[in-house]
Amino acid sequence: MTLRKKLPKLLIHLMLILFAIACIIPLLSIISVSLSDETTILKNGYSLLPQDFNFRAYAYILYKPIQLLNALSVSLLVSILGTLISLLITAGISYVLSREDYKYKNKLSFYVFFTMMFNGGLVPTYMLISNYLHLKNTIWVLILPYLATPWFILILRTFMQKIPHSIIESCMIDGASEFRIFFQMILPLAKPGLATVGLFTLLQYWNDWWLSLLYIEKESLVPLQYMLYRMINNIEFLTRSTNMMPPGMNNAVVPAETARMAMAILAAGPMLVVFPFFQKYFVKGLTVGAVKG
Amino acid sequence: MQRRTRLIRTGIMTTILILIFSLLLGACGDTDKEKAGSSNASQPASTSNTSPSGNGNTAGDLPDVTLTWYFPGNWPQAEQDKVFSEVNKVVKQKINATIDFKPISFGDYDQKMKVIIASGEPYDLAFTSNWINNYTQNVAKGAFLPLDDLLAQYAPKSYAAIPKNFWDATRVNGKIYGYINYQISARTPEVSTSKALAEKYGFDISSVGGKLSADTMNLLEPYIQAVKKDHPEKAFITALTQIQDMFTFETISGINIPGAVFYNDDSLKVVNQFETDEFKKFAAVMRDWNAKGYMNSKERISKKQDDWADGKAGKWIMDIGGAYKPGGDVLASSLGGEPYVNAPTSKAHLTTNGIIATMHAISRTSKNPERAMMLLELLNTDVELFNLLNFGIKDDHFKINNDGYMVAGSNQQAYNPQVPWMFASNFLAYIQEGMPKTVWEDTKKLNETAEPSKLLGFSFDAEPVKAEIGKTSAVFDEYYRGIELGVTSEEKYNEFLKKMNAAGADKILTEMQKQIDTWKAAQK
Amino acid sequence: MTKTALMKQSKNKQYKKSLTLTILALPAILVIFVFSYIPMAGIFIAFKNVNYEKGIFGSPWVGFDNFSYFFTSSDAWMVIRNTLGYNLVFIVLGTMLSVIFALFLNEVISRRFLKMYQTLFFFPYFFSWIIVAYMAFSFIGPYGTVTGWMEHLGLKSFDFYTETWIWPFLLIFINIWKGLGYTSIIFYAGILGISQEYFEAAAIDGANKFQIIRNITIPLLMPLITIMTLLSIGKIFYSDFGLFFFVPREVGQLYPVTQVIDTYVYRMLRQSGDIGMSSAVGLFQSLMGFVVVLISNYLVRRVNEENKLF
Repeated sequence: MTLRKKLPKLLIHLMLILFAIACIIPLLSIISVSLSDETTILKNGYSLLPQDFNFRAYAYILYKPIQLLNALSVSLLVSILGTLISLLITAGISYVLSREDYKYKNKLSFYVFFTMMFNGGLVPTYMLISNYLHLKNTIWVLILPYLATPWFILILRTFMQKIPHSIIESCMIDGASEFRIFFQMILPLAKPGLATVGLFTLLQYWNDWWLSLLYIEKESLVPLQYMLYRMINNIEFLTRSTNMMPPGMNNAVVPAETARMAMAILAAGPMLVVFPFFQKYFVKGLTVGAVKG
Repeated sequence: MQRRTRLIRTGIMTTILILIFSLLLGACGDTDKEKAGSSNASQPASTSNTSPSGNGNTAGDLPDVTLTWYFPGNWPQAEQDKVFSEVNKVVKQKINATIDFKPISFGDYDQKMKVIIASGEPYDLAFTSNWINNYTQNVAKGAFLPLDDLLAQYAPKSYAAIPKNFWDATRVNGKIYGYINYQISARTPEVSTSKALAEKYGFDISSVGGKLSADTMNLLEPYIQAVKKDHPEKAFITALTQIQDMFTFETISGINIPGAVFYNDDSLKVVNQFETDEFKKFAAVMRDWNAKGYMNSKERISKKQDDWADGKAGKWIMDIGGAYKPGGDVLASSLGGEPYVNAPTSKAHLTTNGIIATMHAISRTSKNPERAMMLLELLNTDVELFNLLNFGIKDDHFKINNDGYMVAGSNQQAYNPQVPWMFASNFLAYIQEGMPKTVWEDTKKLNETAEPSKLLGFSFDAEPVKAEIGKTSAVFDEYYRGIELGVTSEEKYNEFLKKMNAAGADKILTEMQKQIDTWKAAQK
Repeated sequence: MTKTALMKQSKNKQYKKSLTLTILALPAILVIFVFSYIPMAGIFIAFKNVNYEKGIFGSPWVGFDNFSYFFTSSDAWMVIRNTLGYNLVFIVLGTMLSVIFALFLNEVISRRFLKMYQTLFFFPYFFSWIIVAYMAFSFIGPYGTVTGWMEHLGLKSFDFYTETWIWPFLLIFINIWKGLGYTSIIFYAGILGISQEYFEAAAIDGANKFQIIRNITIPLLMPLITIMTLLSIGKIFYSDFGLFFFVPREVGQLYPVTQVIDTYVYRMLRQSGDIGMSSAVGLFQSLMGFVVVLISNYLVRRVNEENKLF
């Protein structure tokens, strides 16, 4: 009897655990590469445990760590500031789109969605940002373009659609203004949705290297992910076209694979720390109370 | 129904809005263009005004300007700002200019320059070549200024220092658009192997030096066979892109695009290199060697290109690649982690591609082209300034030892871009310890004695066949690794040829022949 | 008060309501306008042969010339087929698994376990495709861990990077592995947003777990599933460049199963980098996706008005 009841539960856990293992093993493997000796790996092949355990790769990356620390602070500033502003803006339009009684609901949805399909392409966007808005080499260029991402708007809208319209109506009868309803009722009610989109926005800002590749030419404004991307992209380039390059290029300057892995760990690390903070919104109980209240 | 019409209406509104904005942008763009045009027009006037101070080294009455300079490399370096500000002190004093340094990492440079050039953003100088920020393509699209007059007026010394046929190689429709960073331009691949290994198996590398070709690859076989027997983990290493200069033909748009002319062909007939007997012979040798197990191709096929990390780990028997040059064995030894011996594979040729591999161009959007040229002259004549950019600050990033050789400084890791040919003439560089004292003279001699290609000075405008070039290069991408590792069967090879033809190889050959014939006629 | 006056008043109110709501949406509308709509004017580049000397605006028009290189290539249909095929599998399988995992997570009561699962599932999302490609290589490359195990099992000559048949499975597995944590969190948060009253009522009626899932959770999750699917369908002619470019390590033999529109165009234009030609294929991808979305949205609206995209 108890077994019959417990069996499905156990099966569920088994599946979840299996997938969790599949997620963590590659991470362990790159950590172990980052702590290994490059030549030993090439000789013996890869393994899940470090070979010739050492911190040389980290020492290589952290030589003169000022750049790295600066990149970290740029990333943090952009991610936090960007996420806060973006969440507010996104929540505003998402709420409006979730209101069945909003007159321009369909048109506005289309307006938002259309930009997911069509964009001006690289060069026109660059011309606008660089030659007309003059945002190149400013911190704002890393923040502004991602403030209203259509994908997030449409997802958050769907979350907000679940808020019963009766709540809004009763507030209106009480004489509350639209703004008050939005800030005092909707935002607290939409917590799981806001946490989800907030987390994704944060990750979008954190993981972005594209904007910095195009618009940042000042070392002091380079974020962490772009540092990683630039290093790895450089390696890809050098191993692809050294043949065309003039001789004399010493490809010993290419950081060893161990160093690349170390950099990847350093770039992803901070987000792994931030993640649990969002998690409390993804746990049952807390949100249940909110909906009931 | 109603909703659908509403949707259509929204669509129409959107279209109208877009049209309005494109008009607005268009208007702005036009004024921009006019501005650019007028600055172009005023250029000769300003040129003649400042010419007296052109070759002088004093800032004198030159107005203060800022020059934006984009160049690729192993950037960023930890202390680049420190070095750049030292450079600027000198530049400021000598030509009253401040350089706005834009060092871009190799991997990003192409993308970056494409966008900057296409968007019309102003800059003054940029590194250009046949392998990054493509020279001929940018010239064809009108991105650069012609340099003939500027060179004569503002850079007479460095212009004279480089042979005339080098300058001719940079000409497109008779005009020079690229300022050459003088370096090794005569090309033949280098064959190298570990000294210890060669001694153990009694292999004298100089015995094959200069004698290798697709027909004589078997000269190497006894050595490879002997080493392979004792060391199954080691393999023979080469790649098509590495070995291409060993062939007796010159490719016109790179090894990956059909179109080549034999060095000894006076009629300059364009052929498809993949259909030549020589190339097929090479593919057959690789196939044979793979069957004999020399290639370790299973292990190597998932690597885009072999790198020296494998050499260091003892996985190489011998390597054919790079370009042979004086002092090359020193470099190979440092890369391979043990002493190496080297030799040229075949006779060196002087080709357009060897020369245009390192150049600077002045942008069409530059507001101070004459000052940009003065900067180039300064970099190519001022040894100390050049080496400051190249190696960093003396006694910090590098040192000169008692014998006059350049050695690493205590703080070398903070500034070590390793791209001397990026900044200016490579021959101004301090000689590194271990290289012969005469290394630059030897290199210059190699350049001069190399057999010049009959196509020297011809550059192919790819514009009319860009679609075919795209298609054929995609086909090459799919097959080349299999060919160079010998895993492509003869049947597969024929499939490759068929696909190349379907992708428009013939159209490319015809266009190349047409342009070569026109060029040849104009030469006379 | 007359009837018309009443109507007028309510119309006024309606107007005011619309206005305040529009103000709430205004910041986003502006940002989208500036960063998305204004550059859209540049779509015309796809019809131009760009020459920098004449400027983008002054360059000659070339009609549909920029499109022809792609469609006249012999592999065009193969890469379109690959792109659509992989995307369909990703959408169907990916959505199904994400919903299933969200439902699983919903059954987990222990907070500690829940946190552990969520954190671990998210790990793959943090790594760029280049890093994922390195990871894959460290497992299935010639010196890889898995390859090593297989040698022990007697499969000495198995070489992942030359076996064409295995790559569709590998690419699907890797893509789902990377994205599952991300999408299942969206669905899990969606389940959390469902009012608890529904579940309580169902429990009182004596419904079992499966009935609750089938009759309550899934239907209430449907709007979210639909929107996610519609959004993915819009991108059906695009593919994740990093997955298809870096993970198979550009092994030519694998192209028949790993080449998609984005990688193909990238490889073709690597040499010339023509912006007109690359814009052209981008425009084609957008247009096709747009048409597919319009059709799907129309179908969705027929079934359930509430779940539509616009």
